[in-house]
Amino acid sequence: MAIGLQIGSVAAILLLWYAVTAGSPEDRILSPLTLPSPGEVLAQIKSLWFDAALTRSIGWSMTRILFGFGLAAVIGIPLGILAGCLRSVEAVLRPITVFLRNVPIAALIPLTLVWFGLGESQKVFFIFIACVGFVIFDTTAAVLEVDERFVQTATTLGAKRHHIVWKVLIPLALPAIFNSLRLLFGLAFGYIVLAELIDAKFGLGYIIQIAQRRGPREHIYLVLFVITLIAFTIERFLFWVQKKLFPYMFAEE
Amino acid sequence: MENPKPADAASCPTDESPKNWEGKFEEVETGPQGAVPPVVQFKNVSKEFQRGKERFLALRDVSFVVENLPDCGEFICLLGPSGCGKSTLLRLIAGLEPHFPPSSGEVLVGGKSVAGPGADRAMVFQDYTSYPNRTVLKNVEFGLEIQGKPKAERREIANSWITKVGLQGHENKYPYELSGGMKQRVAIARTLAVRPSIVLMDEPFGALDPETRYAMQELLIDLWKEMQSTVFFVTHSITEAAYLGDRVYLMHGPPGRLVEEIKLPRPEESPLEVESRADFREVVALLKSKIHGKSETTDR
Repeated sequence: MAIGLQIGSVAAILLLWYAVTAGSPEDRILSPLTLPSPGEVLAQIKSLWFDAALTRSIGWSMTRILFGFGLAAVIGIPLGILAGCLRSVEAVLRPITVFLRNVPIAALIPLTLVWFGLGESQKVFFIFIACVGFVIFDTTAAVLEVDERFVQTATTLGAKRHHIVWKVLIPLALPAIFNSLRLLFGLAFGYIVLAELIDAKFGLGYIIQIAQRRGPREHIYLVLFVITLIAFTIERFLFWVQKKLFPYMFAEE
Repeated sequence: MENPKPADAASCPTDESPKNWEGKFEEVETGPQGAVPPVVQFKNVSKEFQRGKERFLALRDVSFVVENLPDCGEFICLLGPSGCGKSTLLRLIAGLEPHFPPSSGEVLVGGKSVAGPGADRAMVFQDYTSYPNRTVLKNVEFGLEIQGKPKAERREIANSWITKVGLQGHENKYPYELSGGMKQRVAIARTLAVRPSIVLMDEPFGALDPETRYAMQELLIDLWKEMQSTVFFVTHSITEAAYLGDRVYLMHGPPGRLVEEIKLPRPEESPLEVESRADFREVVALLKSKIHGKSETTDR
């Protein structure tokens, strides 16, 4: 039932797209400059692959995300856990995370250009800054959400502070931390395109920027589709990993 | 599971208690302190909570002594309606916040003032507390892991307790695969595996269906006879208290106070069988009248 509706939804969009772009360029409801027909878009796959170096661009974008997001995770998770365990650390970090979670991320691009120049480090640090506040905040929340009864049980079994952190809080917070990382990864994917639109020599955002300026415009639609496909595939993969790592969190399904 | 014969613990109150139920409840005077410090002693303990501007007196001036009997522990049931401070009393022994520390008075365990929670006073909660990320085996090993026991040793101890609580074959299951009764078996095995001298149980069978509850009561008595720890068992079920307890601490409240200590004989039958005995039913009726006689709160 649901799958049928999903296919129907896609078919309806494609049909609408086809309808408004059918016929010779002069007779169309929408001009080819506004929206190329599905056939015209598909015809550009070859030039996207070879002339615009699609695979290499994906590689560049992914590398930037992995470094930026990886850095955010490596720094954000320990800080978040620390903040979840110690009120003082939480209090120190709170203003920072509040700022980072509420600041319009796009507004940080000019600043990162000032700080890090035009190179790769600017992209990586932009992703890092965009994500680290969320990683810290979500990790802290995950630790704080561990039910008090698990901590109390541990103390009556003789657990000291370090036991509680390593054997109770971290293991029990891990599924929620992983879950938030999975969702934040999608965020990082959105931000990298943003950074690459402003300034880049390679990358998916760069292809879009060039296609908008010099054409072919069809590349924009193809890249949008490619980005969505990659983001969706990675998200599903991470969800699969999550189920393998924490089977006990998916008992109800 | 086989019950060890009571004869091998000659000094236990279970054996001193009479063999039938008639006229078997006497009020116990707390005896003079011997050379060995008492297992647990409360000296004029009160606990007041501050909720906003309101003050709530959870316990008022509670004093009692549980003497140290050689090689055996007593099974003490804390009985009373909701809000009578039974859980507060239990958690004061455990050293768990926010009930600990007391507002006034002193809680002594083994002659020493309680400073906080510890494995000598392990606790089984009413809520299921099996760690969801650990299998049955790993859950039972938890306390032993904390004690730093080598892997082989803790596996051996854990496996023997898993067998004792009847969970063999379920070692590698996660808590979500277990029924409520099985989760409480895990909690009991995990608690007893650290060999606590005092076992604290806060309505551990409160969420179980009657059938499972009977089975768990019987299991608990079997294990306790083997352990010889002192057990504090909180319940608001009169029949449960009458079946399990060597002594019943009757509580009224709020404000929570200890009104009476009642010594009871230990039945040999299963919980289901004993309920049909007239003398057991008399004990239950008496406990019921004591609860209703002195408290406005009704017990169900």
